[in-house]
Amino acid sequence: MALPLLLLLAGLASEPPLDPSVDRHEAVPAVHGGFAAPGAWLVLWHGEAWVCWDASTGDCWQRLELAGLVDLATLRAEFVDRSTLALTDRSDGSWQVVRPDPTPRIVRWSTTARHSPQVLGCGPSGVLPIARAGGPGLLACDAPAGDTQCVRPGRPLRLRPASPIRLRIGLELRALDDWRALAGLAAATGVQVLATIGVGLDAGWSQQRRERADLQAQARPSPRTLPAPRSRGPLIAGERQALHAVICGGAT
Amino acid sequence: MIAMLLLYLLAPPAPVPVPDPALLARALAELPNKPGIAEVQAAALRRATLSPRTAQRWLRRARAAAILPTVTGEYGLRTDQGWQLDQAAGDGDELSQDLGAGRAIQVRASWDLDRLIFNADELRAARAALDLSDVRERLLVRVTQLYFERQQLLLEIATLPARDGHEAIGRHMRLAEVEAVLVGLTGLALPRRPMTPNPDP
Repeated sequence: MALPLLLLLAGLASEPPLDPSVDRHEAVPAVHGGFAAPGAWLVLWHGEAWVCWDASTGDCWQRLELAGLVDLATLRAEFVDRSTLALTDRSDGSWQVVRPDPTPRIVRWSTTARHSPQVLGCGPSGVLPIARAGGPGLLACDAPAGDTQCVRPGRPLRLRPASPIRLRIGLELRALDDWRALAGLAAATGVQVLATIGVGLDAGWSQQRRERADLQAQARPSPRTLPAPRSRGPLIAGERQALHAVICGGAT
Repeated sequence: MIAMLLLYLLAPPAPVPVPDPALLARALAELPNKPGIAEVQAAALRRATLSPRTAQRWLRRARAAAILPTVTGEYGLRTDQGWQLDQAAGDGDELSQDLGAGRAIQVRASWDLDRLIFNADELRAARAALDLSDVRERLLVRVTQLYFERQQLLLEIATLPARDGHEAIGRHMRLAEVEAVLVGLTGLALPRRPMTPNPDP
């Protein structure tokens, strides 16, 4: 009877505390589900993307089969709702992952994925995705305080409005020199100048308009959570200030 | 025996060691301040060729490209040769030869005038610019965290005695790793000034 009790107490004593500073080094780049999917996370772990549709269900992680399809280095993601995830990368391709299928489906148009995976200090719901031995996990952490959040200023992106009209002019110069020997010698030489003009309508105009609007939306100011600092004690204020300057510009 | 073990296990955890304030102040003053965080960030951007001007240049070029025409040129050479044999009853055979040659030069220049108003390449350049901005931010966050982690490790090594040799080795290995990654990302040398005597065992 005494031995099991001892083992239980030893286990309790050796359990690591739920202190975010303990595992901060293990935080992984993540995208939170936001308003559309408050319990959802997408994380990058060991060169692969993992999704958790509902963090309240315990072991919720599912590996997405993106290999060869989506470039993880430039991945952007956005949860459309509690069971749909929109992905894009620099190839301008768009994919959707629909729960529970881990394979992305190519879509012509979807919600524009705007968020790049970032290492966060703590998620908005008080949990933080971290790396563990067998895959990603979630760690309880203090919900972000005011000084860990800031507003990233808009990025300068002046794009001209798309136009459906296509207009091409051209100038062509041809010099010909021809001769033929058949019952005598005949030769022909000459110079031609041609001017061309072409007018057309671009079928991709509406798509360009949407893309322009999406790019402008991405460049607008947006709320950001500062990444977890690596230092403690007397150095943490300086690090927070430096991270704030990187993410949101200026100083705290 | 069991009671003692229970007392040991249920005892409150040992308090976090607090460094001597004077030692901490001296260690803080002795932390290397060259290169500074701004220098480290600038070096990382330089090494990764992620200057903010790069993306702006892409956009400017996408717009300016419409001014220049698309020019194509062709040069053609033709030569042909034929023989014709006429045979008729009662007449001699007649063999005639036909020779021909020619050359043609074409130069064509065309301007897509609509691109002076809007060029679809601007969208690609803008998307690449936003991607570049994200990559730049990730790089800066990484070098900033590594820079302060190095400072933290140097401070801990100088002020907090390690609990055992394992922890002391771990600190020094992590410091070496952080410095190696920082050097790789920035190309900067990270000199260390001699600090207070190391209390690690």
